Amino acid sequence: MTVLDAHTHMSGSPHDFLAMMDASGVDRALVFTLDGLYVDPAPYNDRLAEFCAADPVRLIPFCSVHPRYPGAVPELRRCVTQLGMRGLKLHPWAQCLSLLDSSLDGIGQELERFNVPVVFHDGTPPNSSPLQIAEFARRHARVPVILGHGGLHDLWKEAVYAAERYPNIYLTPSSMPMHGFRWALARLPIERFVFGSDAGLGDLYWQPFQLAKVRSLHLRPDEEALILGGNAERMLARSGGCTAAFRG
Amino acid sequence: MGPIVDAHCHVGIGHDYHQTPDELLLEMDAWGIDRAVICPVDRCIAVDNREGNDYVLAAAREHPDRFYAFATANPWYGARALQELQRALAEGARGIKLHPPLQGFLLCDELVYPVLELAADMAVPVFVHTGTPAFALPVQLAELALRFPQVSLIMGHMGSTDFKSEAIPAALLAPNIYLDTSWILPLLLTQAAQAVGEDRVIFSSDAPLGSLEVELGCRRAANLTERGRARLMGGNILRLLGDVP
Repeated sequence: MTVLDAHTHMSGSPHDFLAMMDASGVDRALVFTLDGLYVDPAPYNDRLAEFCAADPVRLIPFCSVHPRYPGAVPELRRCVTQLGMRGLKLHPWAQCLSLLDSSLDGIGQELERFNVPVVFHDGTPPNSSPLQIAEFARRHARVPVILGHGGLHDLWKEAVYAAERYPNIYLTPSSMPMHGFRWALARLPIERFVFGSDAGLGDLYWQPFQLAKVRSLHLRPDEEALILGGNAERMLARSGGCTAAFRG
Repeated sequence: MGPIVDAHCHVGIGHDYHQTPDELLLEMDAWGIDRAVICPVDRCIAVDNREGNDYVLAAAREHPDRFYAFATANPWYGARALQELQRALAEGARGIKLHPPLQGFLLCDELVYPVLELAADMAVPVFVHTGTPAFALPVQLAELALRFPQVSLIMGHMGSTDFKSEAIPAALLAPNIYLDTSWILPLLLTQAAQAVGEDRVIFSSDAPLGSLEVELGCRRAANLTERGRARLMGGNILRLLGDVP
């Protein structure tokens, strides 16, 4: 069984990052920038590609682009075709984006063209509620859309309603309350859950914390394996991008 | 180390979740928790206050060595809210729970002042949910704490994910704020104990919304002194309850 952390942020050195994963028992990780969400992301995408090149099997880069900067669509294209990025991370709250206007139309079309998934920060007003992000999922129905926090503490129900309405929405249950996580599992197919931790944001305990939440549910081993890695592995296998050169 | 006390759990049959006192006791026994503060469940916090208060009071009467009941009343009920809280405190409640988003009020609204005055008169702590924009921010709790310096206010979930970076600066504004550490990762707890003091951090699980197993793992991973750990895991809430071991 592979444990794949579908939500981490580049921090420190690749060596230390891999050591943290080893300590937590995490095999692979989707890695995002952090600072690249706030300013011009291009240099951070370059750094991320370099960071993940340290172990291209275990570290899987997801680029960020900023629709308020000119050239966001060409930057997404560059990241996928030249840097081997396997997906996109957006943070509508930090990036001040409304999902209901047209600012993400070009990016959504490019994601469809390349057939790569997108991870959104979600769970926080005013721009990152699950149903706001669901509108992106509706407009770009072929793109797998991962709600990076499953609605957080306040909007986990909204996240489940959004996932029930649109089959291309997946939930990372980090920061859902435990009873919300259980409620979601009772309503949605197991294939719609993707483990992720937010590791890289300061605390070395993110991965043990989020792994403990999943394991404390005592699911059937095959179901737990899907949440902890199988579903994300399948999503990556189905997705496109120009990645052959980056596969180890 | 003194008794391990979980400073915030819910029992009752709610809309979103339910947990009976016996179920909570099983969890507590499984994870080595000696005592717990029990609050009503969601719908009883929002509207069915008396039903919820009676439920936690009955559980605390049945298990006086395990449970402390916290009562709630929706401040929008005005004089009836005060009467209900007075009744519950007279019948054994040891503190008050407020939940601004669930009860539909701005945390620092003057609507809630009479409840704080009652808490001051009765010398009981008040546990306040925080972390939900826009009604339950740490700075709003600080505003209330500065107006009622004689009331011990517990900042539930330390601002949670959205406002966790504001919990410590807000707590530094008023010495009568205590930080509930549920949902918080070990590094922030370590920072809180250093910045605000080990006498002002409080362990809770928020069960069944949270998990005793997960919360205990987080607390164990924090870097605290032995004294700080004893305060966190029970000493501080017992002091606020006037129940010093």
